[in-house]
Amino acid sequence: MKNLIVLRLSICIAISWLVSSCDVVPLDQIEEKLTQRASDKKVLVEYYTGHKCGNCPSNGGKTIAELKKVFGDKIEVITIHAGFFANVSKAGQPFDYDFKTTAGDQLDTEYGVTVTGTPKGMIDRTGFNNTKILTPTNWAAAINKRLADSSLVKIEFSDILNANNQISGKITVRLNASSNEAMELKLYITEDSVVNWQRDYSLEPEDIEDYVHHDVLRKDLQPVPNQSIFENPTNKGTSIERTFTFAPSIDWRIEQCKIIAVVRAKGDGSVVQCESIKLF
Amino acid sequence: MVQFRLFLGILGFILVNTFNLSAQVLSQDLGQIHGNFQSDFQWYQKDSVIGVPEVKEKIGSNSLLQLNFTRGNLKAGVRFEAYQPVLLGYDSRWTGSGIANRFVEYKFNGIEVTAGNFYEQFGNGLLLRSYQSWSLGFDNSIDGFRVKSNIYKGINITALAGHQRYFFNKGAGTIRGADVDIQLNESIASLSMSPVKLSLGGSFVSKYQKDEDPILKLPENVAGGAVRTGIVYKDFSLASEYAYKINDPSFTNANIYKTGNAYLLNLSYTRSTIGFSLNLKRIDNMDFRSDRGESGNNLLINYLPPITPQLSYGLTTLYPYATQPLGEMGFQSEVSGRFVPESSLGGQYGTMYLLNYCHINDIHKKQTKNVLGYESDFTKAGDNVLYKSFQIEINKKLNKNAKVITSYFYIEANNKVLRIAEYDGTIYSNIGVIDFSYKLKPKHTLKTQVQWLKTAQDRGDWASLLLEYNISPMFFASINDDYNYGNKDETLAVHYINGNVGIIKGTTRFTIGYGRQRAGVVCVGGLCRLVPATNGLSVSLSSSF
Repeated sequence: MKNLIVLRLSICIAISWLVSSCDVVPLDQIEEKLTQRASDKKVLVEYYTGHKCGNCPSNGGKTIAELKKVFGDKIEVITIHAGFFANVSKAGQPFDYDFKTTAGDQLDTEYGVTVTGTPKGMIDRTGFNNTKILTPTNWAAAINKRLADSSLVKIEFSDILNANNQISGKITVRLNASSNEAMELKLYITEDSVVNWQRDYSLEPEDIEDYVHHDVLRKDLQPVPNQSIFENPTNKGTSIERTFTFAPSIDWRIEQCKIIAVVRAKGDGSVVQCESIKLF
Repeated sequence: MVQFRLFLGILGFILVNTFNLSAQVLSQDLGQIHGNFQSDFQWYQKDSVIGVPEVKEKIGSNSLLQLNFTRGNLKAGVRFEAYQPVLLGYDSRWTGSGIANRFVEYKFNGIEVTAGNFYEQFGNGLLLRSYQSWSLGFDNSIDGFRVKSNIYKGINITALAGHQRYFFNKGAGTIRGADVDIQLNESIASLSMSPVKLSLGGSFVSKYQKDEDPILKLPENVAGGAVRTGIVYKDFSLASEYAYKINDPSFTNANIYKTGNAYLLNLSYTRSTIGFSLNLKRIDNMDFRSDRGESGNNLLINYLPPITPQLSYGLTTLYPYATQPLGEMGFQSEVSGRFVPESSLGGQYGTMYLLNYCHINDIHKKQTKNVLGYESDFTKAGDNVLYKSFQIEINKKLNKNAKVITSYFYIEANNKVLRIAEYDGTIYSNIGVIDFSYKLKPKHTLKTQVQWLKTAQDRGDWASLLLEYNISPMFFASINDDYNYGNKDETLAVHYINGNVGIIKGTTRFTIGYGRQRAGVVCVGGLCRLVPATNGLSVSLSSSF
């Protein structure tokens, strides 16, 4: 009986210990001091949204703007309009412009992002807190974690030419360390500052006709001769070259476009490094 | 397709009989095995009229098998789940398979210890509730350790710690919690004979999640406390609970540092011919998750019980209420009863009636310029109506073989906040239902439901007709047509026809259906899941043993 009392008392003490933790953050101390990273790693931020997603501007869009301020050129952003909230209205009505792309839809299907709701994002297509699909709240932490690593590869653009409405160029990918990882090179074209309709629940009226859409995914490109790079164990310093050629759509303002090169691991699909170049 | 159906039938037969046999053998001296099985398949068909895209995999399936072993004071269980791939409308991260739940439980000297996955609820759940809902695709079981003990007469305590299930993984945060429940009439000898039954309770829950944010300083330990009381006197009962949570900036509250609170009051009076209930609720910034970055129904620690009526007729579920954890204030009142037989209102067989009214507003909010986000007066509701409903139902037995339930519903849903449909504004709907059952002969019943929904908003007016033939208790066949005749887009003013056949034997149920399913929202207990429009064949098999 005595042992039983001691046991029950122990449980009570253990409970008191378990639940005695809480952190009230003083209101004047909510900002952290960010440690600047000297790493050459850049992080790919893929922001999934839709022009009818009313929660996106004040959550996703606002967060992307803050991330650009904090991380500067350490991040590359691709805004992907996909899923239910990216559906278009009938011609002549607001939201009749189609931001969806085949490349965006394929990525959305592959990773199952927008069925979990928007705004959502992926940071280097890698897991953070056991998921690749993240809300804006976790983007900064996930980026910071990725920036702690140095980059396995370096990406360089060269020979960018615009002739006869054909844009071409060369990409060199160099290994910074020996690697056994098979990789792929993916290329995406984005256009910045596209003015069109957007729903924003934080405003009244909610439907904004002249909203400025940033970093909009337009198309993916096929590297020549192929996207596979470093298929076998490769030594440090090895480099490969790929070229690309495409005809820009007449809808795009080419001076607002850039090409983002993404090297990803073939195994788990995570982004190893990314780099961009403005076309003109 | 014939081969597919045959395969399912054989699979079901083997499973049910195998487990029955196992249960019998083991029950002799080694212990007992019980469990349940469920498998839902859907074969998808492209239907451009209602916006069903081509599904690459053609077939989706959600399946589970739960086995529980008990012997004396020992209980252990394991559940295997497979989503190959997950059915449309569920989170894509469910796709996969594996052991989703396993536990061992042992009782000794008035103490119960559980290791592994467990489900638990403190009070009404305002601070902690872990549970599973198959239809929602929801499971926030805690994987960890739990101790329960009766430390004194009428005093029970529960303590737990662990991580929540997150698809086939675990959430980032750790949950620690304790609850004490006191039945005063058992604890205090002088109250043991009192007609007034009193109870008290309190709980405390804390979550830990590492602060990895490089921009904001986030609280790593977020705690909440709750107190509750209960009084029962003859036909009256009164229960209430208040919960409080410290600063918890998260995705859902847009990273504000305001504290949260919730209050719930349930009053009821029940006699043989009349019942009355009143529920009050106020919620302010009480979304509580073990990962501050999560959204939707993922990694919820607490549960905010709905006070809206449970509606079951098809068209009454078009505009359901989704609990608003960031702020809501409202009440529900219900009167139900029976006019006795041979009275002027009761007629020969008596008449049942039900009246229900529910009204929910947002809460008063005064925006602040600091990181608290806003201030709120606890006694004030906001100006915006979120949801309003009125229901009247008359349930009348006409003669020995016929019964009719006639209902009227008024539902007002503020879709600017609830976001349960595409329409951007408040949806006002009036719904009438006639539910007629006729017993053709013993065990043979024909059921007819006629529903009509009228609204000037969203997808406009609907009519619905259901015919169902039941041979009790083992067979049913039904055909249902939901017709969206009032859709302003004429291409969408279409019929959603589907047919279902079901066979029930003991605890085993097999159903097969074919047809269109309209897009909508499934809500269970205030949590909701979007359901896309589908067309095709569905097969479901479930059993328990």
